[in-house]
Amino acid sequence: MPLANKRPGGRILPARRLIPQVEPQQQFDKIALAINEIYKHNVSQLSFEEYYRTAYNLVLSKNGPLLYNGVRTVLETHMRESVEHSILQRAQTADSNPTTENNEAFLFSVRLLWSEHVTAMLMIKDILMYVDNIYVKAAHLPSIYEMGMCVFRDTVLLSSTGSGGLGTRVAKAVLRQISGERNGEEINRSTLQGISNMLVELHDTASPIRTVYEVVLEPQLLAESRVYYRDMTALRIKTMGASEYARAVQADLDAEADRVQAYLALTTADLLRSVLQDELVTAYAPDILTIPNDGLTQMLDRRDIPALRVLYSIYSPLPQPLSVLRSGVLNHILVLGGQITESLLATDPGETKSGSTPQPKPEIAPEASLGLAAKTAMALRWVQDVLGLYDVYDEFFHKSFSEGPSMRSAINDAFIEVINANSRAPELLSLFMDDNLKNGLRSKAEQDVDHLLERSVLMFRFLKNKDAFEHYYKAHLARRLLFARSESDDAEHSLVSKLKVECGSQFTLKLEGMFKDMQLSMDMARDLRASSEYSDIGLDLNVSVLTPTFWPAMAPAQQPSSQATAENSTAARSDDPTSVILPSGVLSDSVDVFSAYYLKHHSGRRLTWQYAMGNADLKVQFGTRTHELNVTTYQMIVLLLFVDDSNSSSEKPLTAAKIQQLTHIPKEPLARQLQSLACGKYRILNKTPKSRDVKPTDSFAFNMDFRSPQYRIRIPVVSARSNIETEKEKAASQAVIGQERLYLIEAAIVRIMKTRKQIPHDILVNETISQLAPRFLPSSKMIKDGIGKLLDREYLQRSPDDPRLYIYLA
Amino acid sequence: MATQSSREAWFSQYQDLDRDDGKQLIGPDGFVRLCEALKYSMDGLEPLVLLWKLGAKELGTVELESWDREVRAMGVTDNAALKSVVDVVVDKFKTDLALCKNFAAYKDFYRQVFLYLRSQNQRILVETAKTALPLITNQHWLFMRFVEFLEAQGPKMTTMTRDQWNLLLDLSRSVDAKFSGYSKEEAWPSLFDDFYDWIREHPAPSPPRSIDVTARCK
Repeated sequence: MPLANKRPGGRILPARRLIPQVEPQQQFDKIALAINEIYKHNVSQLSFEEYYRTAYNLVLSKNGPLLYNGVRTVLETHMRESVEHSILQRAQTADSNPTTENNEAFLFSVRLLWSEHVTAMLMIKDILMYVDNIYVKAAHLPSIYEMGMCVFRDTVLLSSTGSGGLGTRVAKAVLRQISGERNGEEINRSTLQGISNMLVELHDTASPIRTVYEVVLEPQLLAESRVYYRDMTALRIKTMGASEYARAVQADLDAEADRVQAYLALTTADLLRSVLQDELVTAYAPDILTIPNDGLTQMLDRRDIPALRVLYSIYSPLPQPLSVLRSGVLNHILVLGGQITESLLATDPGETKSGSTPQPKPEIAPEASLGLAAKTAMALRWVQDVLGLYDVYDEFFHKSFSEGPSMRSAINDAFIEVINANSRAPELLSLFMDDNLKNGLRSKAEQDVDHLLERSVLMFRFLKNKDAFEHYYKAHLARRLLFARSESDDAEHSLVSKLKVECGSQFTLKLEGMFKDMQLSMDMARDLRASSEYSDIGLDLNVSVLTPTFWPAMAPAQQPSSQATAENSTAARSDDPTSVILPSGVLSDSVDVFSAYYLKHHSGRRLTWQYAMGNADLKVQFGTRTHELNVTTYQMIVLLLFVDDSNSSSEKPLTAAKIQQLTHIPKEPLARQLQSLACGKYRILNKTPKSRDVKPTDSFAFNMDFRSPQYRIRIPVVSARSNIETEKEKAASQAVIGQERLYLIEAAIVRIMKTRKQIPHDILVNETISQLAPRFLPSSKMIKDGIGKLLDREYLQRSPDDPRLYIYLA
Repeated sequence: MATQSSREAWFSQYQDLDRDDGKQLIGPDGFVRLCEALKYSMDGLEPLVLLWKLGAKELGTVELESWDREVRAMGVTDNAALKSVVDVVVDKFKTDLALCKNFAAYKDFYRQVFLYLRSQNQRILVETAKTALPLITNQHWLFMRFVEFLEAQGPKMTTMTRDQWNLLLDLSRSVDAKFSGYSKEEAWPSLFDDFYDWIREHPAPSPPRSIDVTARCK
């Protein structure tokens, strides 16, 4: 071992004992003296090294217990003396005369003793470091510092000094100070902060994981706060309006949060807030909202966005009050929406006129048709108002309700209900879009247009009967396209693409097909103009070729153009508009040329001419005067009957029956056309007798004496205007939609059965509903009927073992 | 045991001999004669049970092949024996017990009756159903109420589908007089939903004659 080699023969001797043989008690007294000096702030005169060594010696000489217990006794004595000397009197004063100042003096003295004690203990701990390291560890005792804390707790706070433990009296004084502060008094927050820190630092005797703060102060604080705020609420609820109340609650919550932050333990924050929430919000959640004349309804109606924001912020963290608020908002929307719908219905007491009389044009009979026009205006108003209401609540949602998901669902649920409660919603929405696309966009800025379309689409999203909407939208779009009434192609396409996003391409397939037909027709017109056949067409002919599957059925009662339908194979009925006879000559020749041209380029197709939806410009000679008349195709056909062979106007009268026989125009539209020619503002024809009704025997003659200051005259037509449907038309639409639904249901059932082969009844019903829900909500009766039909036609059968199980028969 | 030839001889007494398609079968005329020979009224339950027992596929027509098979299965060789077998079955079907004790057989019979009585369009005329249902169910209360319901429907309802007919028997075993076991959410045809609503609007004036069939079977 090299080290050993360096010290040959060397021996390590035990250190010489340098400890003077002084009595342990004597040594301890020295320490006790030092401790007292520390408390007297005479630290500078003491020698740390000396006391450290003394303690060291005591421990080394196995006098640790003497030292440890002795120190405790010294501390206890000092504490007791200090309490008696500087605290007790103040405590009694504070108890008997609890003014803010007395409380403060008492608490300040406790706090002072505490802070001196802590400072002293830090020094004592240093002197007795060796005790901590050796004796305390071996004997498993609390460290000197901890022991000092316990002495403070037990001697100052828990010992019974006169009227109960001082700790309880401290807590009471703190509560008195808090109560004073709540009532507007100025208090010394830093004293309270010191007291709190003290109580938090000390641990409970019984359960050391809890602090004295948690045992002595916090429960009382919470209990007292509960009582305080309970009393306050009972008073407020009687005197305050909801918005004022909400602001007061918010102020309380803020004040208490600030209080905790300033001088209480942070653990109290959540507990105290939930006490306040219990007492101020939860306990009165419904009552606050229904305070008469100043509740939630009034806040909503006043559009008090800041107040609602406060209300939401105090309600939203609490599940139960939040749901109260949610249903409060929802119900109010239902009320307001219900009023909007009611005011619409009030103007619509049923049919305007008996269903059999044709709707007269406004210019002919203002008094009778005002009904329809006014009702249409009301219908547009309804959409406008509902969307306006939505805008209001959407603003609340963003600005007051922090875009909380439960408020979103409340607003949406309410609007879904409001909108679908009006069975005419699909029609009205389409009418609204129609109106805006026709008339509304001109005056609006681009972003307004976008907003309008967004909102319309939003309402569309809320619609349950999307298939009904499609029905009306197609009809309205058809009129816009065929009469070129749409103001903006961009807006049209943008709307359709928005609908596509909502409902998928299946939904907009037909709408897009309609646009495409119009485009193709324009292209074809251009090609035709460039072709050799063009010279054979003796007039300016514009033809739209429509694919029947895309377009709404051309009902005989409607009246749009020289318009052909491709691929239509339905046989012509006697009153079918397609069997209308064109006057021979240039007109029918032109139509034939067009047909030939079209079929040459599209072999295998079939054209069916629809004269009901067109219009024409005619130059008409009235004696010496010439006017240009813009009329419907039907009117043109009628007027041409009054042209004699020499191509001049003839005054020979014709009866309505004769006109019908010559033209094959269906009776109802013919009567309407004759009315507008003979009974309107511009009387091109003279009718005998001069009544408004058209009877088959009535005769009509060309009015040679027609006078008008204008050269160009437009004979008004109702067809170009989209009005709200009459009851009769509505019933017809519903029949069409209902029929379509039956097909869709059966198709959905077959689709499901094809993939599943076997399926229990309830699952089949649910899957059918979920397949169709994007378009409409089928009732379980409709689905059952569909199943019944498929069973009957043997697409399905019931399982022989279980009648609730269906089997697909391929 | 009777021989094949004696069975055929028996069959030939009622066979339709005027057919030129060569098919061997008893036609409606022959069937009426057979019923007369057995002294069955054509308005009764017996002719239907007889048809069913002879394996007929449609009303009044029994093919030789099924006659031969069924007669052998019944072990009968003449009219008297055939009548006694059919009478026993008719008696069983006329007691309510038959509805459950031999339910499989009854159900087969019940479903077959639809095929006998259906019209051209594969459905049964409501007029026919109104007569047939009380007859074949021995005036079971549910069927009697159903007939009342059919009356109340008036001319808007003219036919019943096979599914509605078949499921009506299942319905009779699933509900009590108050229809308390009924749910519209289940797989019943929607016609029964209407029936259910009608029953609730028109409670029976007196308690049904035969009560809960299933209860009695226990």
